[in-house]
Amino acid sequence: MNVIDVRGLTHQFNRNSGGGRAPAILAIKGLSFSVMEGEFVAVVGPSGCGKSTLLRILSGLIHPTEGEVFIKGQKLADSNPIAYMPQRDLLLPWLNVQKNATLGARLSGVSKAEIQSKLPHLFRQFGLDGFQESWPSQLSGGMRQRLALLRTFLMPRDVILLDEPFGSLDAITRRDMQNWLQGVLDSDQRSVLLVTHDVDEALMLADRVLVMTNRPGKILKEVRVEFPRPRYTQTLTLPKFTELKELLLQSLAEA
Amino acid sequence: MRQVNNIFPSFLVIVSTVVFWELAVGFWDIPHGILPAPSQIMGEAVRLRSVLLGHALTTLTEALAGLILAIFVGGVVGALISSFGFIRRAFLPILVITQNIPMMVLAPLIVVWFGFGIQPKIGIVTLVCFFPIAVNTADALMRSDQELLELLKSMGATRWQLMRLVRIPEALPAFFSGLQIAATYAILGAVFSEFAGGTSGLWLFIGRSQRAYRTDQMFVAVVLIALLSICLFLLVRWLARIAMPWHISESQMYSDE
Ligand SMILES: Nc1ncnc2c1ncn2[C@@H]1O[C@H](COP(=O)(O)OP(=O)(O)OP(=O)(O)O)[C@@H](O)[C@H]1O
Ligand SMILES: [Mg+2]
Repeated sequence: MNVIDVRGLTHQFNRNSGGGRAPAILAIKGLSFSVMEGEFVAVVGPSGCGKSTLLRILSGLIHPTEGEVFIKGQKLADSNPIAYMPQRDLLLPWLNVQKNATLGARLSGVSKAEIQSKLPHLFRQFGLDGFQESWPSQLSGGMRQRLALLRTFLMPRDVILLDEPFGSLDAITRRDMQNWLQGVLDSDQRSVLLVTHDVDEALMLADRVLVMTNRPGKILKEVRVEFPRPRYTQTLTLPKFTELKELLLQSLAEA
Repeated sequence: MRQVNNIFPSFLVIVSTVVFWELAVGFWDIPHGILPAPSQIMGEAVRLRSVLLGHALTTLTEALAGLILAIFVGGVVGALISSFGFIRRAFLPILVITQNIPMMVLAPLIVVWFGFGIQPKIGIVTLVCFFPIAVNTADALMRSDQELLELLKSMGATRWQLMRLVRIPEALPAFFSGLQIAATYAILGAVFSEFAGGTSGLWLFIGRSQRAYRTDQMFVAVVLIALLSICLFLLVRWLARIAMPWHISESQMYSDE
C-alpha cells in the first residue's frame, strides 16, 4: 500500500512584497510520485527546485495550487499522520533537551506516561543520555540534529519527512549520523521521505532515489537502490554503487 | 571572574575620583557651600540617616509601584498592538507623540486633577515607564520566527499553545530590555513627580536643603537617587536571569569561546 501518493502537484508562490506585486514563482509543476509502506525514498535536486516546498505541502502547511495528495489513501487535510523535520533544526532555546524531545509527541496528544516509558531507551539510542536537563545551546551540532530527529521520531506518525537533516554537519559527523539513522530505522520501520543534496547519502540510505529537475520542479528520474539495508561503508566501494552514483550525478547535471 | 574584571576598572575610576575630590577641596580651600568634600557628605548622610530613610522610602515606593503597574500596562498594550493591526495603526502614532510631552509639564496638571497623595505620583511613574516596555514587547511579539510557528502547527499546536511555547518566550529578552530602560526611568520619574508637591520624598528633601544652602545635603540626596536607580537596575537584571535561564547559558557559551 502507498503511504504517500502525489499526483500532478503544482505550486505557485504569489508574492506580495511591500504593496507592489513581485512576479509569481512557479516552484513545482506537474510532480507525481509515491512512497510505499516502510519504504525509504530520497529526493535529490538542485538548490531552489522546490524540495522544501514539496515537504511543506505534504505536511499540510501550505496548500498546493493544483494536484492531489493522498496520505495513506486519505486526501491531505489539516492534520496528517506525518512528522516533519524542517531544514533548520528549530529547537526551542527556552525548553530543555527533554522537553524539546517530547514537544511533538505532547502536542500530538500522546500521554505523559506513555512518553516517559519510551524515553530512557530512546535517549540512549539517540546518544543524548545525560543531557536531558541541558539547554539546546549547550549541545554540539550533531547532538542538536539528533535531538530534532528524536523529536520527529517520538511523534506517533506513520510517515516521516526529513529536510536535509545532516546538511549542516561536517562529512565525518554526517557519515556517523547516517549509520546511526540506519540503526534507528532497523528497529522502527516507518516510511521516510528524505530530501538531500548529497548523492552518497541518498544511495546509502534509500530504497529509491528521485531526481528533481530545476525549478519548476518535477521528477526527472527514478533510481532503485537494490542493496539490502542497513548498508555499511563497504557498500560505498561496490562497482554497482559507483555506477548508480554516476547515473545520478549525470541526471543532476541534466536537471 | 569575568564580571569582577568588568567592574574593576570603573571601580578604580570612582575611587580615584573621590580621593582626588577630597584632596582638591582641602588643597584649594573650596567653600563648602559650593562643593563639599566627600567626607563631609558621608558625615551628613550618617547624621540624617533616619530622615533620609523616610524620604528615600517614599520615593522608592512611588517608583516600584509605578514600575510594577507599568509592567502590566506595558505588557497588555504591547500584546494588543502586536495582535491587532487596527489598534496598531490607530494608537501607535498617538503613543509615540505623547512620549514627547515632558513629564515636568504634566505633573502639575495631574496634581490639579488627582491631588497631592501618592496615587498621582505612581501614575506619573507608570506613564513614564510603560512605553519602552510596550514598544519592545510589541516589536518582539510581531517578529516571531515563522518557521518555528509552522513547525509547531504541523505538530498540531493550538493558537494558545503557539503563544505560550513560542511567541511569549521568544519575546522575553526584548521585554526585559524594555523593562531595564523603564527601571532607569522609574526613580527619575518618581523624583520628578514629587516636583508637583507633597510631604515626603527625595525631591522635597533636595528643595529644603537648597533653601537652607546645605549643598552637602543636596549631594547626599543625589548620591542616594543614583544608588536607588542602580539597585532597581540590578533587580531587573536579576529577574531577567531568573525568568530566562536559557539566555544566560547562551551568553556563557559565547563568552567561553
Ligand atoms: N514563501 C515563499 N514565498 C515565495 N517564494 C518562495 C517561498 N518559499 C519558497 N519560494 C521559492 O520557491 C522555490 C523553491 O524553494 P524551496 O525552498 O522549496 O527550494 P529547495 O529545493 O528546498 O532549495 P534548497 O535545496 O536550497 O533548500 C525557490 O525559488 C524559492 O525562492
Ligand atoms: Mg530546502
